[in-house]
Amino acid sequence: MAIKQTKTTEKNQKTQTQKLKVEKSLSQRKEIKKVSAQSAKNNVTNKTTTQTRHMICIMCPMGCSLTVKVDGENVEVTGNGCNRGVVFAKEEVTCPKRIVTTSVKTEHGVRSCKTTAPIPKNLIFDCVKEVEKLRLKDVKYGDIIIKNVLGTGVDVVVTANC
Amino acid sequence: MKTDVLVIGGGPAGMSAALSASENGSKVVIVERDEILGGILNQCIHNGFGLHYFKEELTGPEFAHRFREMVEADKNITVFTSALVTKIGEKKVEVMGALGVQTIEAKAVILAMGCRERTAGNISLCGTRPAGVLTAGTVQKMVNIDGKMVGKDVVILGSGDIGLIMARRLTLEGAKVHAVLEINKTSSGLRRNIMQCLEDFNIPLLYNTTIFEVVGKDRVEGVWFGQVDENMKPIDNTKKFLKCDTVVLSVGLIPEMEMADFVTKSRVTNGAVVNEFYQTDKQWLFSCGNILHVHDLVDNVALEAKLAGKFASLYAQGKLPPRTKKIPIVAGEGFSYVLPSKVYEGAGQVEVKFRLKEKVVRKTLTAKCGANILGKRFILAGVPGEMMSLTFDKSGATGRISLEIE
Amino acid sequence: MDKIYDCLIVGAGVVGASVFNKLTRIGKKCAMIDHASDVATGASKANSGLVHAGYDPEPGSLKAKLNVRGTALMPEICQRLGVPLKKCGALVVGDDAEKIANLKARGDANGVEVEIWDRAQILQKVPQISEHISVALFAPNAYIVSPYLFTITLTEEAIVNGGEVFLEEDLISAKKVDGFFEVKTKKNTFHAKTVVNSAGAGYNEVAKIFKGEEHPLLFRRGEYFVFDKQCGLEVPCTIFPLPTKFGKGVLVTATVDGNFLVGPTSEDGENNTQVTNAGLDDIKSKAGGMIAGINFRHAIREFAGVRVISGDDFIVEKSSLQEGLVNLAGICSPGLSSAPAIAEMVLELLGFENVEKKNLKKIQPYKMFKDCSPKEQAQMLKQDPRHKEIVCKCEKITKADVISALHRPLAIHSVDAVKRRTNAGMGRCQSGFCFTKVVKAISEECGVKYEKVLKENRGSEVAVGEIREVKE
Repeated sequence: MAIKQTKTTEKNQKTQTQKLKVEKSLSQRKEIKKVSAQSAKNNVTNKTTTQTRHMICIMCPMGCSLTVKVDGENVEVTGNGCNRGVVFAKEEVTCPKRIVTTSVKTEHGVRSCKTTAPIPKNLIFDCVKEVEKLRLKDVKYGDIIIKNVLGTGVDVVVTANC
Repeated sequence: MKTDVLVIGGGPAGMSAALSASENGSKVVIVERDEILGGILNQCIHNGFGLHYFKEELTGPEFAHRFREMVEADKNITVFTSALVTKIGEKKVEVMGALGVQTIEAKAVILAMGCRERTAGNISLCGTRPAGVLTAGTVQKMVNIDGKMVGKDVVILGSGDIGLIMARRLTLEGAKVHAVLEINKTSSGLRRNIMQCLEDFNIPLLYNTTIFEVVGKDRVEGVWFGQVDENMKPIDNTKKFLKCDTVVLSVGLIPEMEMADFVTKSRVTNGAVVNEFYQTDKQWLFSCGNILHVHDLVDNVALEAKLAGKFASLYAQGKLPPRTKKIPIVAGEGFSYVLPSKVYEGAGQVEVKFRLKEKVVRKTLTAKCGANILGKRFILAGVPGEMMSLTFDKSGATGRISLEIE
Repeated sequence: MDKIYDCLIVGAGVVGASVFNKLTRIGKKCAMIDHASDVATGASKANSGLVHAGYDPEPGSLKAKLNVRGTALMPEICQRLGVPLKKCGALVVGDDAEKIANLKARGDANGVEVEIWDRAQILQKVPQISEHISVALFAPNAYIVSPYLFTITLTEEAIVNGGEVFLEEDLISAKKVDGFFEVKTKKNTFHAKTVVNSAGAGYNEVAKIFKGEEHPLLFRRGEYFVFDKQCGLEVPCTIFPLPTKFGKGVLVTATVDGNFLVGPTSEDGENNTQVTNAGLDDIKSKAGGMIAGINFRHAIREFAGVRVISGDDFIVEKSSLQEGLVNLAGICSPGLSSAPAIAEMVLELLGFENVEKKNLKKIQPYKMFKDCSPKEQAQMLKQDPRHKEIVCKCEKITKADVISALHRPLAIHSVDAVKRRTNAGMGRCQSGFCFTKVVKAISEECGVKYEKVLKENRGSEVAVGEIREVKE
């Protein structure tokens, strides 16, 4: 694989400080902050106060309006039409995850890439930043350009040849 | 040049149709106007493709890549890229581009040119016409393929899926997406996209709202926007100014049917009227994918094109079942359209596709011929934004088949 | 003083370009300057594209005289330039026979061929005419032309015959030095014996700098719809309603490219080219009264142009305040039709004899690959394989078409300039397919970074940078 990494991506310390920076830049993005506060550090929900969130279920076109009460480890979902709504809401309030897609710069222009699996939502910006650091020589479909991005156990791979 | 089946367009519909036509024994030629196969998928770098077809979640380029590899491996398929069809005639098309100027003759032709985006001109966007007013697809191409940033302060008009996807993409690239404005009271975008592209990033989605006027001489300087009344007319006292340098339009798609204007078209889908073989009223001309009707999932495009490719191939070989009595299929109350719109009398299963006019909850959809129920399907919920299907046995049908909500 | 021009033309619209062209043809050393990145970016790019027969202007007026003479000159000039000019005739329709008769009298007075038609004759020509139309005036000697292609080619022909064009010039000052004008712009200094102010909407700003006469100007905005070539309209001639005091009213016409235009509105106000809901609604209701069944869903573009009006007539005069300055003000409609005649009149005002040089060079006409014969196409494919690359799918424009437009006598570097020359981006997808292809071609050929390519004028860069570069 002809990958020339101008900056290494495995600097945990740096990632840590960067993460702080990102958190700061996200200060206006209240929604994310709220969620990330709950979901940070691997599902540890040590909230003492009860929080209520409203969301629309995306599991089917029904689009049930869900009300989710979070009280410590206790998550209560109402408004759901079926059990899939409960599963959806619980994941959204405890550890929401997303596949991240972006593009990486190479000497031949930009190439699209993605995380091979969903990563915690609060790491989306960090993950994009990790890809942004790269300046690669050439890549092809399927190349892994970052292994275990941000310690998530998920890789970033190239999704196109041109 | 001569071939059995000629496919116009090398996107997901064209590739899938070509593979299927080849599988069914025909020599196939694909004519694609862009430099590579894949169509618009190449610029859709986001995920969410392939769940039905490949049973895994892929990005657009990956979906295209898989099909491209299959097409390239298929010896019965010849691909011409950078080739533009300029005219479609009876069993022949004229092309220009990489092939030079020439005519390709075919026993069957498949329309798979997809759709184009509605433009500022199509929606009569008022104000000036400066740099920075772009369709979502153009923005997608500039950012994802060319690696260029279109602006820093963005307003998105229309909440179509590409608009939502680009809201997220531009945000991740450092732009501030101030709002997505939707003139209708609901979004045509998928719920999942609204959540993952807007709500995740706290981007407001304003319904019943549109741009009244674009401001800026050379570059967009801002927009006057506000609410509309029930007739979609601007309500003046809701007018507000928003400073921005870019306006992204995601205001709908139009099947690219102008070159085949000689076939009968549907007033609802703007695509051709087809029978169960995806055959237009010109027997040698077939249609599938977004040029037939705008789909929401590429998986469905590929599956539909597979059928069209098969039937076109059989037609080219003179093996299409002989035509019996024509039976129309009509969309009953609550449906905006159903497709195909006719079948032929006889045994067999038919899958029809349709869209609902409004959201329905806990209903049974039936295909009926008189009092005779040919097929039915219970749905928990259905929305206009989601294309649905129903499979039924046509052998019991003697006359008009209608789709009903019960 | 390194170089002294016989004439400096300020303002590169159709009028300026006509003067520029004519002066170079009689052997004068000329320069034409404009602040924009291309010629024909003001009223000359945004009008109906009509060469009027000349029945409409008040008999005896400058408008009448110049219109009739200009239109008479048009076929020869367009043929020389290789600019498509289509004789389609004009039909003024209405239900008031008396008014039509009055218009005919005007046409007769102006020496213009006109005839009165009854409904049967109208129907034969225009089957889609509205029911209430009972009478019409037909003027056979009316034409359609691309106003910008005409201006561009006039300019280019002048360049190959020794004229010079300077674009993106910002005028700073002008003074007389030793009897010559010394004109300073941000980039250059020009010396000229005479100056023509053909700045259109910018007339007064230029007049101020040159200490010439200012004239009260009225900006009249006209909005238009552009229709798809396949929109179901059958309009073999330009169709007007009876004129009012605000002008010729909302008309319906084909363009030389095969599209259709419906407009303009008529709104006095600021010099801006915005399109409004009210204006578009106005067009819809008025056009519907002439042609039945116009489907506005087939509109692919709306635009507005500003006609600059100064009193009832054109102003074509020698300045009495500044010797050697010629004022061209208020050249509204029929400005395009009159432009060749205005050029002749300017010649006269400047005291030049209208005798063209011998051995003038011809300009290579714009001809797109798709419009060539199979034989020519085969030749072109051999000469330039880039004719095999498709840029614009709607208008069928090749990469070589675009590239050759970039390397013509008048250098250009904007997407809209390419569009005006090749039609790439004019079609129904409105550049959805070709925009980035045109940008890339300009970037490669002109050595400009992709993101610095202009849509039209300075300040209209198509992107703000590369991704990853632009961060808060």
